[in-house]
Amino acid sequence: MGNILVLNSGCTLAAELARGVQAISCHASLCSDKEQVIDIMGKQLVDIVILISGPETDWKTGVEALRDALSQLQNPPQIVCILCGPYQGPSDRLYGARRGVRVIYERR
Amino acid sequence: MRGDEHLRPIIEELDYLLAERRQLAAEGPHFIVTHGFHKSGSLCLHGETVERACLMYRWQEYPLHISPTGLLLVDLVCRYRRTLLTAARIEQIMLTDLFYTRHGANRYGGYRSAALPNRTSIKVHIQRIREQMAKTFIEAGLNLHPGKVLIAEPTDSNIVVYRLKASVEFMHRSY
Repeated sequence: MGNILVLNSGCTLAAELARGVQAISCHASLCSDKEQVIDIMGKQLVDIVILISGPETDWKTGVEALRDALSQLQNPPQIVCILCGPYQGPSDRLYGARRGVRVIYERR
Repeated sequence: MRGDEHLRPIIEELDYLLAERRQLAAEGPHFIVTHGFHKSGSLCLHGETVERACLMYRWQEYPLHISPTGLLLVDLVCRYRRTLLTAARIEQIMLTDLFYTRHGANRYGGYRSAALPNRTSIKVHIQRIREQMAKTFIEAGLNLHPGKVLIAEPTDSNIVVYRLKASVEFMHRSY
């Protein structure tokens, strides 16, 4: 069973995702901040950390901080950034690809 | 679940990423080793050269920047990855396997073989290869520890056994 952490638990998408990933036999936990993510990572093996970013937030800074924190781990998880808001072209995905971060647009 | 339709692409992507992690954990990454000066009708025969080794990840090749001697060692751990490789065994293979003793013999105008690593220098070469692997993994955005790919396992005595945990493909070119 895959283990997923969803950062930014305040938004509705986080709760929807936590429910939705059960369809692929995954368990998702919601986290409110980076420190909580690191705390959980110290106790259990996590496959994916998802950062949900709204259109008004600087997702790149958030991703860099998360990368720095998680890179110290022996078995770092895959970081996925879900961008909510209008599609801005391929530059965000290319930026993420160079850093090992999967960038996905949420299209409602 | 009509309301969750918009999540389907995200969940499918997460499913793919999880499968990719499982595959990496089980099989290791995928490397391509290219042999040069190969003659048609033969594969991995002596006289060929080891031209390069690269990581293949998400449709892209990422070369390992290692010395000719290091390349020989990478080739060896790839070709003998189902053999228990101690430093002594590696040295023995390097000195007896025609692929290494006649390395580059097909090259035009004779050949100058790369220096073969000896038993005492193998540990240093392995460490250097791991360092280059680490740089390549970072470049590729691959969260992998090189020590879990080029593995050094202790035995019941002081001897260390080296093992490559990866899938490998050999490619050949005639120049």
